[in-house]
Amino acid sequence: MTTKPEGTRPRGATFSIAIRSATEVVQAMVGSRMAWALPLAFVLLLLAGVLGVLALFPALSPFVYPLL
Amino acid sequence: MNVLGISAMERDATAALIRDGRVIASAAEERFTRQRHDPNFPHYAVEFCLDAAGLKAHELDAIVFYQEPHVRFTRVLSTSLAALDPPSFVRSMKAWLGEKLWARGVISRRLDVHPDKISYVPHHLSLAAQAFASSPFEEAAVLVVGGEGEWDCAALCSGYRGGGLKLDTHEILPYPHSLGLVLSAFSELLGFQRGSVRDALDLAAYGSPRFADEIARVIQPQEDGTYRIDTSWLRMEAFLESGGSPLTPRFLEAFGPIRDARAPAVADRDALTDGEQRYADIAASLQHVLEETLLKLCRRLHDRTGARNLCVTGEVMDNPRAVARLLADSPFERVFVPADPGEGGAAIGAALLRDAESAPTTQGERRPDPYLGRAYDEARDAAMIEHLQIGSWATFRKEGCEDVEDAAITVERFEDFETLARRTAEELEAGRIVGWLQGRFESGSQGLGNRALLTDPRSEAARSRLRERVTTRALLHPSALAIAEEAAAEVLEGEAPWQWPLRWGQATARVRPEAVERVKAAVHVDGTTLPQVCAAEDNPRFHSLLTAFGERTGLAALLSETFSEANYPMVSSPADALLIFARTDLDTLVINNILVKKVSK
Amino acid sequence: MFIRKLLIRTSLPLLWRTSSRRTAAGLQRFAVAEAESAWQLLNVLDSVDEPKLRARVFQHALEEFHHSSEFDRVARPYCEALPPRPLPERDPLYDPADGEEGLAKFMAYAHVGELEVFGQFDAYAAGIGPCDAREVFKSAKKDELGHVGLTRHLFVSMSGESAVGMAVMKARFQRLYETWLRFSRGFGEIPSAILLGTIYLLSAPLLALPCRARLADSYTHANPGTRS
Repeated sequence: MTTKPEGTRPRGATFSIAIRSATEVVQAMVGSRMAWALPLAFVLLLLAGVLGVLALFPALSPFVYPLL
Repeated sequence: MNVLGISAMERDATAALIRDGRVIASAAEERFTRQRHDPNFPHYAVEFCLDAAGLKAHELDAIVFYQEPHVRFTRVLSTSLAALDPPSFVRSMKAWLGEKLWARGVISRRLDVHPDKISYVPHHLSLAAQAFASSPFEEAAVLVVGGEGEWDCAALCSGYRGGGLKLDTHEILPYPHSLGLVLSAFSELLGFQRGSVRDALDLAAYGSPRFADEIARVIQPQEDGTYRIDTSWLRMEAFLESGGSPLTPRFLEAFGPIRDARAPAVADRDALTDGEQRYADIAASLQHVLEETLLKLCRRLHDRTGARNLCVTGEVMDNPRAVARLLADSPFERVFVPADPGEGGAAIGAALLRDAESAPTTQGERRPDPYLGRAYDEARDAAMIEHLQIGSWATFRKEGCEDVEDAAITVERFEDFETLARRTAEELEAGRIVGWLQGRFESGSQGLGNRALLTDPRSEAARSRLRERVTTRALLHPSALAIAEEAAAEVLEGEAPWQWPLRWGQATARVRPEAVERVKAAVHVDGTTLPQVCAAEDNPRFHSLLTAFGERTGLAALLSETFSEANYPMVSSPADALLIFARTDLDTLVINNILVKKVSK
Repeated sequence: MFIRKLLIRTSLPLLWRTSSRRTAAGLQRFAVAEAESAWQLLNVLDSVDEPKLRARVFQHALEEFHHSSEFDRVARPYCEALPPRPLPERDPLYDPADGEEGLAKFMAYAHVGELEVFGQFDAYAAGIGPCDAREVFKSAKKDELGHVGLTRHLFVSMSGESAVGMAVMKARFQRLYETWLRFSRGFGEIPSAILLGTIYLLSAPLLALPCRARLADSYTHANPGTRS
């Protein structure tokens, strides 16, 4: 298996980046004193995640283009 | 250390590459895509920056994004929920959940770089860093006044060098108290696009501030020197993802109706109708209130810091009258505005800040440099021009332009630049419009001698022809006066050393009454001009041209406009310039060492 | 193509002639499309060295740019303030790494594109009715005929006459797929809007007031004196 040059995006980074970004959103909501909106934020992040996963499948991706 | 800064997704996507504290390259994406204010991922700008540094993306030490999208999202979410406007919420969430929230992932995927290399810098610090780091000051107060960042709309900061770049934030004026958004709203009222605030405020020169009290009900001055925006005047959610007009019925009742932008803009004060005069007075009032607000902020910042120098940035500061006011009346001795004070410049600041964290460098007072873009070799285009058929341009020219069916194109090549400068000066003295393309293009929206349209400043006819048949920009907008440093005191009130805003067309200056006749085409209705004082060490080629023109006419000065057509970005490549040359009445085009001209057969 | 032309001729009088704002937005979209074509050609220009070929590509770009400018010009009178201009991301059709083969492929794609546009402009000219915009459609159509010929000629000079048929077919399929993607993107807006709208209706009644309070109180949340 050919290894990618150092410094490039590792395989499977999409999921870890998504989790990291979602964590940042939660931290930002708390930091901005909007913890009361966290349930909504979770729902929105979940929606974005679901549609993002669907977009990985080309046959379905045209239907999720607006959210990509 | 090699750091790439990126600003994108909102407006004016830009990339900048910093190496050991020095800006190697920076460019706005619009220069390559030819779409003004292009907000999309700056693919071409990044490619240019990497080429300029001789790097591949994965070889970068760090990549910095100019704001914290997760923090900004909290503000967008609260605004869209507070508005009780479902379409605004749907539109915003589509944009944010789709791409904007995932900036790290987007950058990692697009550049194929490890996500750990990517970090975020708070928006106000990106702007502040750019303003301070590109200034010549060792320390300064820094005022950031823009549209909106994460939650910041304005920030009062201090900057220090010595052992690295350091910024202290003293105070943030948060959303929704955004001068930038209020100006955008008034820009729409005055019949301009929301992003064309500078153009809208050009109307101010034709009016008087009789609506200042009304506008002070929107931008409310506070006793402590700050201000508050009364947001009940505006639909704040309209600023999210182009969601309709922000003007409420209350606003329109007080200031409306919206000026019909289709009506031709009048440049003669005496010929304004009552309706047009009213709009000019609103613009003048807005300008007055804005200047007073900025001065008060400056005084507050000066009281806080005691600094002698001031750096100002943010899209609100793209306002020559306001900057002139700060030069004249603020408590600071010296004022600096970066070449690109808008969102694009934040890419540079973010990268500089990240670079300074890791590898502090001590820098002496430096000379600011706006020429950060791409340079082009003219050889291929010179060869192409030989095969162009000017006759075939006839039906593809702008309305009102001269017929070229019986014209030809000549190309002159020069080994010696001084000879080229003299030849170009000859063209200018003959009343021709010259497109001037040299070296690296400028950062920011102003042509500063490398991408310029030039005419004789004594000729109002040449200026009219430039506006009507080349740029298609209304005459009401002022032109810049490019002038050699040695000659500036003959024309401008004030004296050397000329502050940087007067070198970069960022501040108005009064023209000496005895000099008006010599530069009348560049003198605005209020007796001011937009100086671009050019020193030989800053732009030797442009300075040579000014000097050559001065040898012929007695004054080393030219009327200068940014090399672009209205609503298009500044030209980047020779091909962009040739398109304008083909379509318009641009007479002569100088690309590096060649001079291309239309001649009658 | 026939169906598309029929749709244009029948729908335009209803859609455009009943709303000047819609007409302005439609014409603006044409301006953006023509500017995109011009840019694609400038992108090719950057990678080509042969002066005569460069001159021909430049001329083509000039003409497309002119069309864009003309559509902008005739869009202007239709409404007081034009809607915000779409700013699509530039997606280059030609990659310099593909060399002459890629250039030939680009020419084939451009040829098919010009053929389609040539057909459509007629329908738009008929649908929009007598006005300046109709004259622009007619004039642009004449130019596109020249572009059809030019792109074919350039393709043949690179790849030969025998390759035309296959290249045109591939380009047609590619454009068909892109049309499907555009349609799907538009279609996909609906379920995502419904989902987000539902989320909004459930959450806004609960959260609007706290959000307003947060915004009203934002000044006290500002953080002075933070060191970077």
